[in-house]
Amino acid sequence: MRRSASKRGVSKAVGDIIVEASRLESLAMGIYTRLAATFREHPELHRFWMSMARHEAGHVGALALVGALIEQAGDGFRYEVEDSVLGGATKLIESLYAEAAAPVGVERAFEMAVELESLELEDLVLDLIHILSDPAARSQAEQMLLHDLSDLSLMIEKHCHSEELLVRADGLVESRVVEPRRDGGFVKRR
Amino acid sequence: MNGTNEAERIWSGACALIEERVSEKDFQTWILELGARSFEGDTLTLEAPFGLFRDRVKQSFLPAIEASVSATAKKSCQVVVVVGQLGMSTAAQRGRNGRSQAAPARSVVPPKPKPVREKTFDGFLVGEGNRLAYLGARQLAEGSTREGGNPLFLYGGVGLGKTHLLLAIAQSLRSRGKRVLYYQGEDFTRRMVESLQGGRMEAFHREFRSADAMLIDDVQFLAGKKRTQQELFHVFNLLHQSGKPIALASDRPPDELEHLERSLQSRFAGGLLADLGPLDRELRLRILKGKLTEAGINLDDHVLDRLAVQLQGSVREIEGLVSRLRAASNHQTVPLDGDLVETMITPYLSRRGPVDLDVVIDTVAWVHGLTRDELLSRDRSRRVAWPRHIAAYMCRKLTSASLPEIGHALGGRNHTSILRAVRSVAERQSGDASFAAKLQQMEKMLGASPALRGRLPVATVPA
Repeated sequence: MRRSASKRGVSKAVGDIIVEASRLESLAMGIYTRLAATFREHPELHRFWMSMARHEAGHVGALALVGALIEQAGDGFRYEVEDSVLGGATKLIESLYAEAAAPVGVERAFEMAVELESLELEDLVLDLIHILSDPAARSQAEQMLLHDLSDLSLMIEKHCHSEELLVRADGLVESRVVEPRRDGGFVKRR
Repeated sequence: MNGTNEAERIWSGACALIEERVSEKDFQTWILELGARSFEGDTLTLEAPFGLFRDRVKQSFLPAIEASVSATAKKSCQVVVVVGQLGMSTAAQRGRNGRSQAAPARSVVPPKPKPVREKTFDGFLVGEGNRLAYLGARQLAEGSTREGGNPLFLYGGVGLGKTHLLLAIAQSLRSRGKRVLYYQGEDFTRRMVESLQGGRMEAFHREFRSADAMLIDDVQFLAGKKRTQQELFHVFNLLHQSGKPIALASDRPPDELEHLERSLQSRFAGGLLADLGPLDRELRLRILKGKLTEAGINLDDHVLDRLAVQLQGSVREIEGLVSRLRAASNHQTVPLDGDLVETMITPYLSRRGPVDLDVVIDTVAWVHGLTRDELLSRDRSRRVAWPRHIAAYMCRKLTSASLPEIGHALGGRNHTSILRAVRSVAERQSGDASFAAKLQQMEKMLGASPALRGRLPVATVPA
């Protein structure tokens, strides 16, 4: 598995990772709903932030699916994960969640989204899915997890004047491109 | 009173109580997103936008919601939260205290500026891209509601003159003593919700019955708002059947307005659909000259020509540049001559592609042995579709146009189609050297500046 060669890897029960990842994805959903509330008077931005929140909610659903399937398959799956991945994600998401409780400007809001979407949390969860042996279940979970961020890029282009932020968002769009896999599922392009 | 109205009344009252029991941010984030679906027996059914949202509301706020609903209904009530559409529509319009609000107490987004209410047809510059819209608007303003011209549905990108034409229609009709109702999409919703919550729907309908014309701007903001759409459908029929002029404006044509009831889409499309296309070079030049004259700035013809070629955006963008020049000229101790202007606008222009969208489209069509019309057609055969993808890619790479603008230029396509096209061309380019060379040749033909390379994400540019 990709992360097994990590420098500071820690072997964790997959169930525990899923619980923690779900908590973080729920918080991410909360960040976007808070941003939606902040921009309630701007219908386009309000709709956009709610759609981002909906995607994060979908990730929680995907994790629940993976968790259930792993539970069915029996216990004992462990996964080596870098300390910094979960730790870093927790720190950043909790800090963004707190920040989103107060009003933020439009550019900062998009910057927060780019920071959030740049986390390796999604990669980690995608890796976890490879544990699933059923290709159909794996494909379903992958499709629930992949988030096409082209709308984020478009909204930044439309509402911000930061070229740097746009480049970062475009980079995220590209990194989320999926390609068909031989077994009928999809794989994220690395 | 039917179940929905009763539900809305109770929910509106309950919101005022819930507000006292939860934090302001929680109220704004979770409660205002909920919509009342029905009230049957002792059960109020609320709609949330998606499942996890519903779960969070149930987990954190259900006791407070039930207590507030019971207090409002003056009996013990149950609250059921389900996933539905209302959560994103009616509730989103409601402010604190459950009432419609113009702006939140701590809004950080500047409210959309209200348009200047005095616009005339004389002040509207007509070009190839907006002629039909202009003629349609004039015809409606002159009171002609013959079959085909009423309703008038104007659509196009930001800053291309939709609002100007609506306001010119309003001005013309009002000058003849007509009573004109002009609403922006959000204002219409707000007005309707206020009337609903205040039990003044009869007055709301009366206002439209007594109007001589109805003009609604930014219709796209009504998407997904079911109740608002029902009311609009009602008042639309009321006026249309009486032969009164109706004009609407949106950023896209009716059939691309997602989450708009089909009945409304067909009503909107039942008259004259007029697209306000991108400004052509000649029109850009005329607008630029006019704005500069208003600002008291004189520029050499060659500078004006250069600006007209390179400013590919909207009237608003031209106004932005003129403001910049005016602001700068106020701080100059020497007159604004050509060199000084060149210096001032260079940083601005350096971000822009030197290539016009139309030039890209024409060139790509020519290279592939197609006519421009074929390239922009709905033909999905590979002979036409692939060059169209290449045109999308080139537009994205060599111009500063956004994906929606490119989609518009390429025959009114959705921005996601453009993104897919750009990606597929970029994919092939990175794995096919001869194709990459062909693209490079095309770029040379288009005279792209090397500085523009890198407009596309790094991953799509071959090493």
